[in-house]
Amino acid sequence: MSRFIPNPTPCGQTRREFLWQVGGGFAGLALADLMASEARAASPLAEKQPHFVSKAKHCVFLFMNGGPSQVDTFDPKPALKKYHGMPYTGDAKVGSNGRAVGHLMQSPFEFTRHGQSGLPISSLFPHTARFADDLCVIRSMHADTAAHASGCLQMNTGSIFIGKPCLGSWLSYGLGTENQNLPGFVVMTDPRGGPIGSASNWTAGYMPAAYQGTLFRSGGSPLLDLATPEGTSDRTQRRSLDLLKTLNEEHLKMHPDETELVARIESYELAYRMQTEAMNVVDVDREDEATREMYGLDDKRTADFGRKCLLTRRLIEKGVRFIQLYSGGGHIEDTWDGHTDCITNHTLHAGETDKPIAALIADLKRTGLWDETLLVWGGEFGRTPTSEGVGKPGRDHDWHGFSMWMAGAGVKGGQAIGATDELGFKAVEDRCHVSDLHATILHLMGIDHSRLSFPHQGLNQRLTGVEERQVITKALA
Amino acid sequence: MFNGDFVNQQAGHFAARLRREAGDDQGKQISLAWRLALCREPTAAELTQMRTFLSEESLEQVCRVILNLNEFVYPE
Repeated sequence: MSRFIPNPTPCGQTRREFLWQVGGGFAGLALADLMASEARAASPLAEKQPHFVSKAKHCVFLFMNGGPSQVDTFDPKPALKKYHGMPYTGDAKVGSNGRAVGHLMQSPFEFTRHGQSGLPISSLFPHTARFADDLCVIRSMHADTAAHASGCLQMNTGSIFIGKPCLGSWLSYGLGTENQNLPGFVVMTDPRGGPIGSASNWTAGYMPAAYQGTLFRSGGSPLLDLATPEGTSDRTQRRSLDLLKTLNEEHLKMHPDETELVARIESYELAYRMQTEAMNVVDVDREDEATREMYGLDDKRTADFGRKCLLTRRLIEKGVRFIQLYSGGGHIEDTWDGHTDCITNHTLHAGETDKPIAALIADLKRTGLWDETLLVWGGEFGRTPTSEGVGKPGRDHDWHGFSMWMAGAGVKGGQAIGATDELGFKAVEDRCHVSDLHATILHLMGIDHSRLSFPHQGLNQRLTGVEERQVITKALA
Repeated sequence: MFNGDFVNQQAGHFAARLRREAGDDQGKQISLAWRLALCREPTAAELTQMRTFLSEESLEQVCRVILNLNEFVYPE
């Protein structure tokens, strides 16, 4: 059929046709991009390339909730012996929330040099000390807050305010995860309770919910209601899920734009896939007696953290990206928060975790996973070299200077970086802000902290914020 | 939602109510279930689907699925 073209154009189309096609073309481009990002959104956890080649593929954060005392763990201060019992006359702000300030207090724990490096470690960690040559202690950590809630948030999200994505979320966002049948970011809390602020410590904040941490319980079923109900056969379970899927998909046709409905349909299938994979991973009872002994599973004191550490090794084997274990939960003495009696407190919490952590290191070395796993140990801040009040061996919060350690893939072990002042109050040498630590962790995982950003509220947000932050190069192997 | 005790217990109660109020007639049971949970009658296709499902599975399983439907979870 011939058409009448009133004003022939060089392209043989009418003005209207041209505009329509060009317009359609641009709209098509936008649509294609939208669909591509939808496809990306459909599997936000697909594995991604790091910024540069790195050894570490997994990160385990051993979170000593409550704030371990640096002068009792990894930062020996002979001067405290000399000044024991004397009032503090320096200029560091001592004491939090108006708590009573006591006198300088020496550590009752003996420091001994360990390994070929001679790294000093207190008697609280006889098992971990066997791996002194693997530990890179940072003695010059400092944070911005004296309170647990904001301190935990800062250590986990880089910000003392609620609502930011966690380190695990940033790693999941930046690197994706290797195993689509398991979450990429797993958190295991203490049976006595979570950290203050609970889920805000494993939230994805302003990122899609896919990047949030999944809470595993350490005993019994790791995820609530993952197991098929008793009396329901596998066949019935699968058939019921199929029916659910069919009916839901029919319903979706009437609401094609609702991505939440799609996500919910997919969640049943992920849970079904996890039923097999996750159940196998958490079945630690099948481990042999020697392994159980090594992790301390048969000793009441170490059983819980030991189970968590063993589970961690198994999750790493399955390709989980980031695992965070909490030692201590709830309040005050149930955490490392030794206000009343730091000695008894730290003896308890170190006693619960030291052997399991050493077992995890040994086991990772045995399986070869050590070469691709980064370990980070520490709490939200440290504790004062003074007692809290006079006449009791408690220590108050100290966020001006505290110790953490890293070990494993890409880390130069057998050394202590930075220093606090003579008494251990304040980081004075090679100061390392919490965000510097984050920059270093990201670096070790193959990510440039200044380039990993997520657009939110008009700003390309970063884990390390807008201020200049430094990778601690001395820590790198 | 799917495996938890609560939902499965409620599915049991739901099935008991369907039997009590609609008797043994499968069509009536399905129809009542749809009206109670979704405020509408089942389509012909849904009825056929449910009858096929019920030939091998229990009414409790039907109720368990209904309580997990997006249409049930997100009211319009």
